[in-house]
Amino acid sequence: MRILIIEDEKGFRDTLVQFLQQNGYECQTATTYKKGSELLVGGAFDCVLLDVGLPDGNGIELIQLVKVHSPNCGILVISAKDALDDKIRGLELGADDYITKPFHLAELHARIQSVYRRRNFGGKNVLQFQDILIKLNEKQAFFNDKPLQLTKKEYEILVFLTGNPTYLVTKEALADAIWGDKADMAGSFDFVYSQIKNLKKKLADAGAADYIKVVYGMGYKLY
Amino acid sequence: MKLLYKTNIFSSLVTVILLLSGVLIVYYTVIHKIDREQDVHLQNDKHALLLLLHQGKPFQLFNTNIGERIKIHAIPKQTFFKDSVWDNTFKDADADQDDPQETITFRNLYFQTKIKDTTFEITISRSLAEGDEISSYIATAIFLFLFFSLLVLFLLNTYISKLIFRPFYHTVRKIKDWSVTQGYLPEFTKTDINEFQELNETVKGLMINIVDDFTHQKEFTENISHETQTPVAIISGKLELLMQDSTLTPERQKLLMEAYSATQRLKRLNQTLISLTRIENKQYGEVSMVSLDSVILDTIEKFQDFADAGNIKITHSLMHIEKLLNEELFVLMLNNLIMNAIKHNYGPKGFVHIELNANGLVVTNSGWQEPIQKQDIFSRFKRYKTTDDSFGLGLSILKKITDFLGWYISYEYHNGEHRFLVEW
Repeated sequence: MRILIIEDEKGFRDTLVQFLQQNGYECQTATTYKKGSELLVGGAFDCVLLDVGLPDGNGIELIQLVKVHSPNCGILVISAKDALDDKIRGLELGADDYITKPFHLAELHARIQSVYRRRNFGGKNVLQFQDILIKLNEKQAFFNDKPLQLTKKEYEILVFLTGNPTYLVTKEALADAIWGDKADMAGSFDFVYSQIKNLKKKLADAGAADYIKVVYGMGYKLY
Repeated sequence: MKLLYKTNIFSSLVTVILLLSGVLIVYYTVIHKIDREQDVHLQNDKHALLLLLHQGKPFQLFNTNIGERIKIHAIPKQTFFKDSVWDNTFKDADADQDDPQETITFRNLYFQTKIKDTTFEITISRSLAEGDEISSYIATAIFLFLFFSLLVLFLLNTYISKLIFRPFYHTVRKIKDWSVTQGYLPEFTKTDINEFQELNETVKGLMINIVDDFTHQKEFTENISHETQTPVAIISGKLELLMQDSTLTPERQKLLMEAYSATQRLKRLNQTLISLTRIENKQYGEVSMVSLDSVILDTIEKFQDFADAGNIKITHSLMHIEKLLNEELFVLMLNNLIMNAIKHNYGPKGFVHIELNANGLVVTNSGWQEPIQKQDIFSRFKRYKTTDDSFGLGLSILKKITDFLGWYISYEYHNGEHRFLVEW
């Protein structure tokens, strides 16, 4: 997948590039509105990450350009936490999704994938890892074509981990993605541990190998 | 009306003293003058009587117009050479028909005279009653006149003072009603009294300064929170990338994890600060009719996982209450209250109980044995336990929200139970 990153902040941009390349994406970058629009006109991207706060313009204005030159390109807007207007406007103008700074990279990955799937697979919306298959439209996970009985939270965790295969997802990232803002205030991550424990048990009971690796003190990895 | 009271009291007191002393002076002066008039009359009486006596003709004492009473009797020999005058009070039977017992004061002139060969002592008396009466009437008249004039002046003065001070009271009211967060400056009415005009202008200048300072402070906090987000995102992202290295030794993993946790804390702190400034900026203005009990139930559901993880039982007793307010703000408040109750729970049988009724909302939880210090509990950054990272700020958000909604929040501790009470 080819991704265009339009972000002026160097440290941030470099982090994004490194992360995406590690996960097998081709990346191009632009640091200004002008450069971004030039690259977009060339029109060869599957997904574009638009930062709202560019030095010479508002990233949101580029959405139009994307729609014209790359109608199949997924648009993900990066906005600040409290800029409700940007979010709304972005979505209204046709962005697929938005993510607010600061975010977990794993979360970004999940969203990029989600946007890409929506744009390119039409009806067939699935995630796969080894012999685990997840049919997103039916919200059902399968192991070797046998359906898994998972609770809502267990399902969401599985989806998130599968969306970031072989990537160490921190417990914070997982908590934020599944439980949302409230997770910020939790004192400990026991509630995450217990869900992971249940999920692993269900997978083991179904006969799966121990795909979910617990990296002590840090997070979880699916491999 | 303390100001008028004070200015009036003083002048009134002085006036009353002057009035009384004035009237007293008038009274005694008049009386004295009138009484002395009688002395002159008595002298004339003496001359007239002497004339009459020396004429040798017989006469009837009471037929003369000399004095009112005359006493004459003979004495062996002349002893006095000087006249003496004095007051005497005695009963006069026919003086006053209404009151036969009344005593009247008389002015007496005593002298001795020799007629032919006999020495007589004579006392001529004149009543002072009439004169005194007249004096009284005069004094009373003057007193009444002065009294009523002063009363009228007093009332007029009070009324006019109130009118004159009106711009002052107006200014005071405007200051009282003003608050820096309102976003506008009051209009003071123009007045032609220099001092009040100066007061108004000075107060207005002061208010402008306060608003400026306040705005700058707000902008500063907002900018800082904003600016901090990007570096925090960068640090967090880089750490996350570092953590992917599977060749990391456990010690290095630990270091990375701790650094990462710290950035997450920073993230949370920042977000809380942003929430706080949003509330201050009144960005939660939109209101709608909200069913408080349903929102509470939804929130409890959201927090169920956290409670279960800590073996905490959440119970509730909710009345159906609807209010017109900003739902997001109410949810924020609830999140804070309930999360606090769960996070700072303690004891084997941990519980959180939420009660909603017509007066307010009560969140009770089993908690640490020592109660939280009551004073300062809601001022920003006051920590409960030093290991805690979000309690202080969370409490001040609660206070900000309840202040904004016009509600009242308080805290109680009783027997191992912490209780937060929100009243509206």
